[in-house]
Amino acid sequence: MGFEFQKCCSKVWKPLLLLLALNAAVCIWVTRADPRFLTEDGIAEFFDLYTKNAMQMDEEYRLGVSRSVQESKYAPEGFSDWQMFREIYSRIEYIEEFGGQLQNVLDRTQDRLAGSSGYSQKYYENVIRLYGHVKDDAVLGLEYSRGWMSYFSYRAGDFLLLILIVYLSSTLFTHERISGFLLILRSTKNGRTKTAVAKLCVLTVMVTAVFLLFTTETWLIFWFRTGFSSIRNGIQIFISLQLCPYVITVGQFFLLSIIIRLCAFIVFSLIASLISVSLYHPVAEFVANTVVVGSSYLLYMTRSVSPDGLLANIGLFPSLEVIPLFARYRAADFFGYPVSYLTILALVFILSVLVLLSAIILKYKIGISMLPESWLSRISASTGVFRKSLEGVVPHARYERLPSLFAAEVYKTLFLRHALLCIAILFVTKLFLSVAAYKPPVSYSDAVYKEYMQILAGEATDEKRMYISEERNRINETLQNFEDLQKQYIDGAMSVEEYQEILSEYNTAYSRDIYLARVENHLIYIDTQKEEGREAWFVYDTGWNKLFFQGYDWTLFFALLIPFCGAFASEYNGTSSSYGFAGILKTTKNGRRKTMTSKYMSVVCLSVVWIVIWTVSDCFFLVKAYDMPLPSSPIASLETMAGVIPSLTLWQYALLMFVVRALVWIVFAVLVCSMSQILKKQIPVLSVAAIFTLIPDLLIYFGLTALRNWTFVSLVKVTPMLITNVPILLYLGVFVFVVSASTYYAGKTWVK
Amino acid sequence: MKLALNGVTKSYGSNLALNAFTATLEPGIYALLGPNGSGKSTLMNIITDNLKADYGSITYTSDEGVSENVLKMGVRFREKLGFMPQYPGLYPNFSIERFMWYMAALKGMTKEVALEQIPAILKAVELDDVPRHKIGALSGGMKQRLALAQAVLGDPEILILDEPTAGLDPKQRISIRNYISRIAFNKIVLIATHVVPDVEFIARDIIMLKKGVIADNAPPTELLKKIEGGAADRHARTLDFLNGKRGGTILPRFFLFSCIPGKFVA
Repeated sequence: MGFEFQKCCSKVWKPLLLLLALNAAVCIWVTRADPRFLTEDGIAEFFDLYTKNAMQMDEEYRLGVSRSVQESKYAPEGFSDWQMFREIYSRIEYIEEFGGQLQNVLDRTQDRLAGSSGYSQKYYENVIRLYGHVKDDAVLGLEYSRGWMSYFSYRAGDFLLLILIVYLSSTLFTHERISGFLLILRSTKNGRTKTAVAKLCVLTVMVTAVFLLFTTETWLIFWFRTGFSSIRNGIQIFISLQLCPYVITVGQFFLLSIIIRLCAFIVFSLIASLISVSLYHPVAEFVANTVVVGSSYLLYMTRSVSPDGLLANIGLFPSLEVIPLFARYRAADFFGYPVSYLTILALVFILSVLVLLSAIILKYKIGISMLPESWLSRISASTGVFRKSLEGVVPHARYERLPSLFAAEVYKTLFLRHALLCIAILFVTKLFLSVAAYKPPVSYSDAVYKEYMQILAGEATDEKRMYISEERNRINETLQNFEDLQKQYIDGAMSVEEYQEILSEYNTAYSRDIYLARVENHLIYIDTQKEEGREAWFVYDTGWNKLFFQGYDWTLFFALLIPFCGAFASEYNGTSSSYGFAGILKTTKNGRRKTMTSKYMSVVCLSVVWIVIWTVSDCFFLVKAYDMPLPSSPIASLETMAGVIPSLTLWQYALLMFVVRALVWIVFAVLVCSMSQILKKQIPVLSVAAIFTLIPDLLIYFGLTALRNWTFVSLVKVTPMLITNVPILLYLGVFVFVVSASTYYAGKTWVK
Repeated sequence: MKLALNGVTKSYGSNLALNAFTATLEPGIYALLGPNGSGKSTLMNIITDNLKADYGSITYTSDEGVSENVLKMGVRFREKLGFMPQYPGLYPNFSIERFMWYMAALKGMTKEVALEQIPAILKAVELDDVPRHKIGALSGGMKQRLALAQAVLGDPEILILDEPTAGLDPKQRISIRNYISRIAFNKIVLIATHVVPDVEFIARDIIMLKKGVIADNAPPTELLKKIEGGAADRHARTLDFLNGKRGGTILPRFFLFSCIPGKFVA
């Protein structure tokens, strides 16, 4: 185990330091003080002062405190005493009403218990028991509860840790396969089961160590920057945990969160290890782990639809976040008995660890194919068997074609680097995602909005203005007269059928009121645009907005990154005095400049093909699900696009957007190709590409909003940059310059 | 035709891999002998322009007597090269014949010339019966033979072969040795090897490298005379005894000699 530990440490310390530094940077940014809001120190000081002089300060408040910033006695600069007192009184109110809130829960549960049986009865009994304890025993002290919720909500470090864990498991298993040492290892006495066990022990120790390092670092930064309130206060002091069914303190919750998160990371590391010993291929592992994380995240997102669902609350992301597990009592039916989600989670952890450990050890022991790409070669070999069986029937012609270098490079990309298989998988994934992303709108609101826009479609004529005015009058009249009509019905002056008709009209008018207001606002917008010299029409814009504000296409990102990261890198190998096939290639007549040109041309051409396929797929799903009327309308017809080039129509802007997006993707593909030559290994290319294209958006997600609209993702989306007047041409120019410089350097190192 | 290496020097940090290597190669087979780390692969990579020398130059002189620095020649020099590295890194999913045609395209050959040469070369290296096999499915020896085949494709004037017989059985080694000997007419062939019998009868010169420096450079017969008698001979006789051979020995003395690290004749 010592040797495994040594092997691991020597490879992991550099990425660990890098990710720790990145985590520290993000923490520091996230904990920055926002001058718009009261500082943590400012509020905490006032709370301390209040707790010492409560009666006196209450009297001061009763007599009247200043709302003026200049006349404040206690508040820090820029804020008023009134704001400070409101902070503290809202907190006091919260604590005072806490008991009442819980009593409401208990009362409602008691009512439901009365008519229930079986599982429901036991569930309600549990609720009453647990929340009864909380009501009686939970102690909520008056203090400004600072720091903890920001700390518990901080998620950026989790993503960095997930990346590190994937790298860790790859280091332990896959690197030995790539280097060829695995064959020697497995031929020794202790090189199978015992080695697998040692590796897994090291993995657990390393995951625990790096997790504690990240946790400590994050906690310390939060402590220095924001401070923490008392750990002895009840966890229910936080609003999001008000209904936590357990009598635990903040400190206890902190410890539990560490344990739960550590278990989640350990399980994930075992999953990543199982993927490593199954695939032994860094690129395939990268994709597989991304699918695992992505699927977990998608399941987690179902909370918005089904907040109490088991799958949405038991998984990687809920475990890492921890708060959802304690937010309220949730249980699942287990043979008529309610089992809390926490208990289920613990069981899932234990079972997962046992199953994964056994699977990894068994897989490691059983063995590997002798071929470098084991599972891919099995697919290839099976097609070879099929081909051989056909030879007797259909004679195979000898290969006697002098390929162009371009054709050879395309062949190498599609078949040698398995791009075709990769693209197929990604495109199928894309289709599945598109079905969900481009679901036709089924909301009543959109239907009403669409109806109005279809009636008014086109320029704002006097007739249309008249229509809007009349519609407004009709709705207002219906709404105003309803009370009187209702009174008539109550007085018996109206039959039930008549009343129901009026009620229906009222409901229709009531629901249409909001959407008509939206139409009226749009008319005002059209008039404003006209005054500013821009033309705008009435257009049903749901589909157009969907088109112009498409999300970032991860599948296309990987479709360009994965096959092209080996454009040059696959020609090299890692041995010291040998350059792999590059050594032979570069000694041939056409092996330098012409081969390099062919590689870049193949990358560009294949990129174009895949971009076209992806774009056509998007357009197909979009047009199928949404109406895209009046493509010749001026772009300003969409209120969201008011800031964009006014002389364009909708279809012209759509074309521009596609062209710019395609250009960005092609330049990205060229960048990946150049990095492949500069770095000469595929994993570093994947890592660098991911860092420079995705990490900025990850930082924005966790608070670094200054970068918004200045990232690669924004550049690909195009529209967010244009509507916020970011100089997109400048950014594109800088991007192209950087890529050109890398390409020049890559070309120089290849040709020379 | 001549290839003149003049003071070629290369270091990796503080490690001097090649120290002022100077030699003139004319048509014929040259054997490059030396223990691991003596600079053989470094020299080969410098000649094939996969590595830049720190100092020194390599000059090519054509049959017409025109001399030119090979770096300045660039593509024109690479047209005359055939290179077989120690670890060729061939594409596992290419078939043999597809790979050879790809090499033909890389070497700028015409279809007609390729059509003539590829079958003949595959036959010579005994791969003509498995042209559609994937390279990834070949044995180590077959891959080695394929690597040699691509090096000789295009009939290059200068052949640089790094361990061409590594991984081959004795029968194949003899076959390859004879093949190299046949095609070496009017070519400069530089072979790096540890297996002296593969080259002792075909090489015109043996260049012995030790720690980046030429330890000796002479035809095989002269080298034999140098090491006859003295310690080398005692070593050779001891090994003969251990191998059950008395009197004459199958293995040349300097083969045994070269197996003992650092024991070259000064």
